[in-house]
Amino acid sequence: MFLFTRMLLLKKQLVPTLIWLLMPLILTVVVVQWGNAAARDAQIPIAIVDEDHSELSRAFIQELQQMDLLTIQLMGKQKALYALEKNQLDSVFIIKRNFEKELRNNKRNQLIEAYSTNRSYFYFAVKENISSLAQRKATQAKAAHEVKNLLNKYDSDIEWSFDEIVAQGQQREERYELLTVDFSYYNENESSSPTEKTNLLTSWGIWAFFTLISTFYLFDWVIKESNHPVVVRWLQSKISYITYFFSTLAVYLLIMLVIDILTYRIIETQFIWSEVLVMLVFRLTCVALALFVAVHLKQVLSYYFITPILALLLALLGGVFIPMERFFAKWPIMSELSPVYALLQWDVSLVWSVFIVLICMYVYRKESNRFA
Amino acid sequence: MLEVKNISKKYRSHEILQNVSMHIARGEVVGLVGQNGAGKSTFLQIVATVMSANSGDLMLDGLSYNCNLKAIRRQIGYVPQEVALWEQLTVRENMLFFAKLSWTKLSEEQCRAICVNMQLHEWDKQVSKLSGGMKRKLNIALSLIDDPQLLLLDEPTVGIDLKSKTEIAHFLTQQAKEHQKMILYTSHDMKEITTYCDRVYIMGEDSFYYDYLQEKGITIGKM
Amino acid sequence: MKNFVFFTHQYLKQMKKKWWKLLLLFVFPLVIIALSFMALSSIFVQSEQQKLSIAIVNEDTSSESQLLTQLIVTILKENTYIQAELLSMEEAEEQIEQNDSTAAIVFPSHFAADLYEGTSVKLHVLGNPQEKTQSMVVNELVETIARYIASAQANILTVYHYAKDTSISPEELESLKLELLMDFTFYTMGKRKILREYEWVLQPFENPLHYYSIAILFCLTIIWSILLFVFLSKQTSKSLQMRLKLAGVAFWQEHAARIFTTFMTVLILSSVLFAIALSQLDIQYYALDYLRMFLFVSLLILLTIVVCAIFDVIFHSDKVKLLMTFLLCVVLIAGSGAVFPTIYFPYSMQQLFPNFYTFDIWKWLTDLIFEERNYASYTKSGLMLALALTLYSGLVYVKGRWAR
Ligand SMILES: Nc1ncnc2c1ncn2[C@@H]1O[C@H](COP(=O)(O)OP(=O)(O)OP(=O)(O)O)[C@@H](O)[C@H]1O
Ligand SMILES: [Mg+2]
Repeated sequence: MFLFTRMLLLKKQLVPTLIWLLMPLILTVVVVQWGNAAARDAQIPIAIVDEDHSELSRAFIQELQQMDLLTIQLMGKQKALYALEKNQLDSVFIIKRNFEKELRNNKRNQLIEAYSTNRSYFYFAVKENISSLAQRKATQAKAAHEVKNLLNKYDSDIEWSFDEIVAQGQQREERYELLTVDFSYYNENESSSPTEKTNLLTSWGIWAFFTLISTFYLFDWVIKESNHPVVVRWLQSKISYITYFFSTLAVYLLIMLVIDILTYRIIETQFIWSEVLVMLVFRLTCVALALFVAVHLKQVLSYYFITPILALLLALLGGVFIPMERFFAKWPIMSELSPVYALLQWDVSLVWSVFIVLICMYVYRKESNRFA
Repeated sequence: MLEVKNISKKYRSHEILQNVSMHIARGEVVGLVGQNGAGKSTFLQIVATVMSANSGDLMLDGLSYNCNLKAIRRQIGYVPQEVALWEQLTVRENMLFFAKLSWTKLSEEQCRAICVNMQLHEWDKQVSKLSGGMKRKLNIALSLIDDPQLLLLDEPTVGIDLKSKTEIAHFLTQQAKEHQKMILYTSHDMKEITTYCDRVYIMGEDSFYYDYLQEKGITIGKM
Repeated sequence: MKNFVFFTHQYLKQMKKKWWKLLLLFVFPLVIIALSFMALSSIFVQSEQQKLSIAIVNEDTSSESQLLTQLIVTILKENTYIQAELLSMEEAEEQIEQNDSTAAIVFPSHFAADLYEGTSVKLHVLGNPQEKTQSMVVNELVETIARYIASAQANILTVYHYAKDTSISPEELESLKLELLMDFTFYTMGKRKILREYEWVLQPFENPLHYYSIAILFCLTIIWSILLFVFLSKQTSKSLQMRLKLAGVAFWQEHAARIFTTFMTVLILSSVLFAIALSQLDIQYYALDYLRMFLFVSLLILLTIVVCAIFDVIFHSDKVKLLMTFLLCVVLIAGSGAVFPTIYFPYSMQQLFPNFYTFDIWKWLTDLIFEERNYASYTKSGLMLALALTLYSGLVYVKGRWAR
């Protein structure tokens, strides 16, 4: 009976409603995919100036080019520095003239010149990468040097060559994993690498943001129907408007929960009940928020205007766009301001759970007082 | 039997109704007239429990409005002054919608019969595409679904053509007489009032209405 | 024209009536920006101030590993934000439990011996569950160290391999081992000297505070234009629309009044704020410079609003319209490069940016403001404005025809 009437109303908007319902899932998948692709394509533009033109320097540049994050342009010094000045490059690295000669002689002082600007956001990372590569080269050269000394010292007649020793060192490094690191948290048994989870967190953050918006926009019926003249007709019907209102709410919730569980299955590989529960609480919080805003507004247009802003604020406070851990370490109370934060920690926020209950009671009172 | 005793209504500080009393017996058709803004709609809304009076008592069939709200609402059919319909649905869907929600189970044919009685012959047309008069007919039809004992009509005949108006009025008064129902309705059409009403109440001190009605020999109720 | 004046008046009245909402509208973006700024600064500031405290646990009793761990402690201590300490396992666990340490690095027994043999060795990092992010930082750090040690070790093994074939005595070989280990580790880790670093100061960013306050102002101008334009939109019922039509009011007249009202309001506000911000810089501008900047700011606002107006015409559903407009805001700001340099975006995206009017205007504005350039070209933005206006009037015309 109830479902029949609800379907009558929804029939015309079935497709848009479905789209809005599925929007968080679809957009999360799209944005994460696209974001990953963009992150893969994202690059730090640097220029390398090869002044040495030796075999070693060329090999060095080749290895650099294999690094994922860097897009390396080879150019002349003047051009490179000009581009840097125009802020078209992150940084410029110049391989000095005697790069090979010095390396072979086991000298490693200032083999490379590095130019950066006060706007080189990634210079630190790039520098770290390049210097560690150069360091490896230097270490290999040093090995060759040590061998030479040894052989000289003990008057050995073993044949050796610089390149051979360097190659051997490189091979050893690549072939054996001489030293690996494993990570675990103290008092937590599973020795899992926590990096996987941190990656997923962002996709849940995006999901949370879109879920907020879609829940808000799906609940515009609260405003549209509560302010419709037709509401007086519920006085004479068997079901009171408030019952009808909450039944509709329940149906929406049910559908949303099904979609949430589906979302969880798609995004997450394992199925952990506690996490699903957290998700459901988050969805309830979204609904409660939507109700809270909706019962205070008369115009859908202002509702459409305010809610995305609210969603943005909550997502920001929840740490979707910028990690907020440090911020919350200073002001722990702030972490309770957004339900998104609790979701991202896979926690149930007590404050927001209480909020849900309070809002339900509040809305019930408000709606049932309508025809007092 | 509807009894209204000394009700008053204020919108904030603005007093609309002051100590209004009236009664309607079973089988009676009662009219309510008055100038624009006299408070007719407000009064009907109070009787229809859409809002509550600031003071005073209302009783329907011996049941007080204070405690038996649900039972009372079941007895009432209220036709609001502005049309209260789902614009995006068809006539049929509108009827079925409220038929499903009502106390009595009506079949689709019965719903259609109500519409036909209201001279509304459109059935599968979307409400937003109906003419103004058709909407008003549907507006009345929807309130008749539950076969109410007390029918409150707020300017039901505005915009309805003469033939339909006569038919509808005829049907409703006949219903009232046959099934001992009560009808209270407002109108600015004096001819209609004088033709169908057993008694008329005048809202506000208005000698113009008073003289006119007395001339026609209509019983004027004391408010 | 009369209608236009009338509606402008109406919009002004509407703004006056809802002044506190309007105030909220203007303050809200500031709040978001301030919040982001606080969050961002808390990340950077704290990572500098708060020292990472790392416990180093050596379960290997050999002298080599003693020396090696000692060496690592010394090297780590060079880092200003790291505090390393040699501890026993029990002490380390206790520290983690009391939240005194971020993480512990455990060197397993037989560490040195295995390393010599060339067999794979595992370093263990014990993170503090109360400080997850920082634990991850330590993990990264240890992975870097491990890479260095592994690299050193690979080369040591090579040397060792050659040494065995010489006439070296076993005792000497033993001492050589240790010597090589220390030598190479030290060599690898002390890598500072390879690079000779120069840091340039680029003009616009010389003073980050100045740069970012102008950038924020620029973004605020965009956000305000969009928000105010959307804010002034209102639902007109069908009957009212009909009445307006009868009164000879075209749809575009009301729209134009809305564009004009938004434009003037934001222009006044932005100009005042820009003037204040510019007066804080210690650069003397000529009147002509001010005029140029003013022109660019007006172009920016007008273009933004016209694009919004186009969206207003195109999209039928209110929900979609609003979401798209907000999305537009993000795209416009990201594309301008005011907040984050566009050079780090993927190449395919980068090529799009010069087509953004925000990019163009921001480029000219920074040139005018920070590099005191006394030349500016409005061709591109002007063309864009003409294009947008043409598109807009075309759409309005089509819509008008269609509605009839
Ligand atoms: N929601 C409201 N808030 C404040 N005042 C109201 C409200 N609704 C009606 N009024 C005022 O109450 C008075 C009575 O209104 P009401 O609608 O009852 O008049 P009416 O007799 O039905 O008039 P009409 O013949 O035009 O239908 C009017 O003065 C009106 O301005
Ligand atoms: Mg009325």
